Amino acid sequence: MTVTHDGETTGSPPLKHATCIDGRQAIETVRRALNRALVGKQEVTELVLACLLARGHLLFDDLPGLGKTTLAKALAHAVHGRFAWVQCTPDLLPGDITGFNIFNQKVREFEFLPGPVFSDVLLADEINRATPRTQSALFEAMAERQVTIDGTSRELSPTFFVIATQNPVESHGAYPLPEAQLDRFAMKLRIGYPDRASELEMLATQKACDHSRDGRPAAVIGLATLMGLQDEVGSVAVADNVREYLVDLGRVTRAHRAVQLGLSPRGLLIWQRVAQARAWLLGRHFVTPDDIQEVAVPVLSVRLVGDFDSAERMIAEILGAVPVPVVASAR
Amino acid sequence: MTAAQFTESFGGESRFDQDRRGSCLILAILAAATIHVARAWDNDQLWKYVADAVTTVAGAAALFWIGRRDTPAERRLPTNLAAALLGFLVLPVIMEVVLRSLIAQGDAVEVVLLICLRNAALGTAAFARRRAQARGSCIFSGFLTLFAVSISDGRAVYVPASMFAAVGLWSLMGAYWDRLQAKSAVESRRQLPLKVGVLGAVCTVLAVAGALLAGTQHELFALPGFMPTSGGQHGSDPYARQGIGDGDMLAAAKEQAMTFGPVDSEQFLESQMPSLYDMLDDRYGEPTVKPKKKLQRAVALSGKDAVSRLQNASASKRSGREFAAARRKSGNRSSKLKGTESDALIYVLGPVPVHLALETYDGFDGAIWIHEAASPPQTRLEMNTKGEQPWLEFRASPAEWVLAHERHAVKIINLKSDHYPSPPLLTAISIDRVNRADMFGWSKDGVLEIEGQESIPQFTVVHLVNNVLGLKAVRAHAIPASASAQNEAFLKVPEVASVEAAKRLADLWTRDVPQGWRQVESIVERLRSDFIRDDAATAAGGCADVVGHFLNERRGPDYLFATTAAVLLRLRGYPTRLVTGFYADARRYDRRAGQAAVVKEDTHVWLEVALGQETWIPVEPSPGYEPPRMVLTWSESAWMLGARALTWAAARWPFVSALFGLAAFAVWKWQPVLDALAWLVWRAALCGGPRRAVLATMRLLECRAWLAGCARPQHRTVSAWHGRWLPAESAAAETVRQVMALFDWVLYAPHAGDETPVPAIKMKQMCRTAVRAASLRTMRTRRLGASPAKARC
Repeated sequence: MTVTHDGETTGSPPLKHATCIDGRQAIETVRRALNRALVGKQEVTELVLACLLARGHLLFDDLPGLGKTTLAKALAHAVHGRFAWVQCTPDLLPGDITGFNIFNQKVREFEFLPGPVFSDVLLADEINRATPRTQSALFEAMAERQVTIDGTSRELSPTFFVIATQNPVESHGAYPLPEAQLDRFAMKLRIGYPDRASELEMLATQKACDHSRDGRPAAVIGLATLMGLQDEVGSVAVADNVREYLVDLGRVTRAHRAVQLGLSPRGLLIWQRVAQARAWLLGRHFVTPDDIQEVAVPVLSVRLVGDFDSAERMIAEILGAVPVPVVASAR
Repeated sequence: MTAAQFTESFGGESRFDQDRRGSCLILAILAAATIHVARAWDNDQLWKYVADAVTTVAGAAALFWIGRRDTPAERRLPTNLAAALLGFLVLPVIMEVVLRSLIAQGDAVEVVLLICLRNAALGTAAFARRRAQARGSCIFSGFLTLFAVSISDGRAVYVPASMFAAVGLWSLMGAYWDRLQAKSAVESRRQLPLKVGVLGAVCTVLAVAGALLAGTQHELFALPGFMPTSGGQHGSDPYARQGIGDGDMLAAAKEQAMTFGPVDSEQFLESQMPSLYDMLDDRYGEPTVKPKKKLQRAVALSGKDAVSRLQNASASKRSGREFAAARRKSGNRSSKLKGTESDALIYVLGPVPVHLALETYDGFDGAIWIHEAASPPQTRLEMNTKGEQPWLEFRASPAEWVLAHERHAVKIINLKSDHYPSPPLLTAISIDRVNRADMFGWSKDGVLEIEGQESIPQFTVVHLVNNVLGLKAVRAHAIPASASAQNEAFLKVPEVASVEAAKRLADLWTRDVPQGWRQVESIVERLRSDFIRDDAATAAGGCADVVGHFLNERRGPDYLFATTAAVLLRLRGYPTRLVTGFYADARRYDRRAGQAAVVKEDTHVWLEVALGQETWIPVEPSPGYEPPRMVLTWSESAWMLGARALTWAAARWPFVSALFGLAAFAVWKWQPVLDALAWLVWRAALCGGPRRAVLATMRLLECRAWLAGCARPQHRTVSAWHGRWLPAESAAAETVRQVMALFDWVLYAPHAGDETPVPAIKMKQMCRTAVRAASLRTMRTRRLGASPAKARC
């Protein structure tokens, strides 16, 4: 078991720069920071940003060494939040994540020791190696952004953001995430191997700043600014015809012969939020069917059971079954 | 949750598709509409059609009301709905029984069964549970439509039938694409086949134009053997839809066969009907050359012999007439039967056109045809009964020549003749309930005649069966070129001055043609192509050499064609005889009555060529008359069809060439033509507000993409799809990109009506720029560039 708190970023001191700059510029800065940390994976960083702005949680389903942790840490630093890293193992207990009450001999009272969930960015590494009991400890934290310990509910950070990883090739000693847990993630991503040029660039960059603290991206956005941006994303308009399109897609997932469990209403809400975030990131104040389609694979693949490749095929079928609206909504 | 609902929720294979049920229901409704239109067209009694329509609508409404809460998720039909379906199915039978028992009116059995099937199709389509049931409904609907089209003569029936075909085709294509989509979903989409669609539209326009030009009354429906005939079922049904139906009108004639005729009247006793000779005179004028009186030596006979001679004289009186080939036109004489409205001499049921012979002539003296040395056929007449119908059978042509049989029914109306109008190669004859062979006999010129009557009674229906020879077999048969004792009379040529010229001409026309039927064809074809038929170009009065006159003038009426052909063929050694009778013209075919009228103007003269023993093959030398039918091989049929089509087109070459020119242009340049039309619509819409302009621009680009073969799949957005086909490197690329964003704005941005992202004028300018940049040619070029396979094509 490894539980690491990044002491350096604990707390949320006021930022000198991020709070005074425009939200879009701040996001652009975060985008650059993430792209520096994860070279040649702009589409992944876009989705990570969309997930962050949509108040969702992220599941990486990929092989080791592809930059999952690096990306998570870079994101935590960029948003100037607290970062916690949990290396999940079979002996990890729920209290190791949520925290627990301990009896203080000095004051003869129980005192609460917060777990890593009391952070802004939580990296749950190899989450499928934790037992289902421990995995379930994240249910309330991810859905309600609070934890209840010994009957006392404790609020988490309003920008609480979980980045979980799992290794798809190791099945021994692993506990597949239950559907209820998967449904709490906004999206599942694959980073994949970078191309040759990106690897060359990565080697050149890391040679200069290997293991130095200067390599970390500077904090560019405060939590308050992030919350404001998340509210702004929530106000991105979704026209009636686009909403109907989204609902039709959801219904198709439930009727599709290859899908065992269709999209839940919670999944539908998350899908709309992520599409709103993508529209906002592209500078639009309304959602188009393109936004919905572009985020369909990461949003649906975490919910539709099956391997990633078959899920992509299935999602393509689902998207192909519903015509996009080409008639403007009545106003 | 029932099992079916569970299956429905998770999309199992047995899940019934609502869209499929909807399309099946539409097909069933269209099939029902086809049946209704067919019945409305054919039904003389409109109230029956209205009663059926009201009953059907009421029954269907009651059925749908009972099943209004039915859902296909429930595997079993509710009991009340099943009972209602059964009632709806047998409703036509109940109605039929009631109508027949109460007011003695009703429909034919096949129509009642058809309506039952229609109800079954409707009910099955509306409440199908499984795909197999829906498929069954579609099969019912298809059968109903085909049947309705086949039994109806009305053109209106083609409207719902065409709609059925279109919907059915679309439904089949949809089912195919749905299956394909289930296998590989990425890029499959349902789309009309463009080029085929345009070709189909052009062909439809051509067909409609051709039908309007040619008229469907005759050419399309009176093709030999194509039209449905009636009267050959040997049955009688008072509720039958159509048929000659004269069986009950004839006297029973069980005890006295010679009293057969209409029950209501005995008009044939005092007949005012014209004879063939009156009609020939009316048609061609009176003869200008009287036949030479032949003096015969008289010998006194005993009383017994005198009676015999008188009887023989009476018999020869009928066949002792002549046909003058030199005539003069005179005023027409009305010879219509009193009390009848029809001008028809006879009605013909069966394939038309057909030649109906009444008289034949063998002797020719240069101006007049006479019965000379002809003797009646020696064929024995045998009366046989087939079913309940007596048939007189005779004269079997060699079996190897006969490839088919034709059946006709001839109804005598205004004709006074003791000869039966006989199609070529007649082999059997039947008159209802006349089962005595001695009612029939041969005239001396070899035509079947009635015995014991002055003429065939009016309204008599005569059923005739004739052989149709195979052209290949006839061509293969070697016709004897030399005269024999038997056919010497049919080879005699007149001793006139033109004989030598005629012989040279016949030799010239058959110089490189092998001996046999091909020489006959060659002479006839030359006459048909090189000479002009002109009924007014008769020989001058007193002309004793009509053949010479005709060969000099190169024009004349049909009897001069027939006479000249006969002489030319005799000069080449082929036995011939002249035939007078009627040509049942397809132009007088009445589709509604299913019969062709033969009037006075259809009097016609042609000739026959002997092939073997007593096998006379008709030959038509006159232009404008269809040659007697022969069975052709497939290749011969194709050649003949092509030749006819070319002839038809050549006669109307200005219209046909213009039509084909337009069609060729439309097929060749169909994309620019449609693009220009779409551009005009866009240009008109540009005069409206900015939103309308953007929407019109979007529609234009959609149309162009469709024309260019890169139509947007239904699951792609307009901006995403068209963005990939438009030039990204040109000067207008940025504007095009902005227009794509405008598409999203106009479609998906809320409250876009009042405020616009860019000024309205600039927005329209951007639209114009985008339309210019995204031309049809650009889209096609980029599509071909993006698809190497298509580029190679």
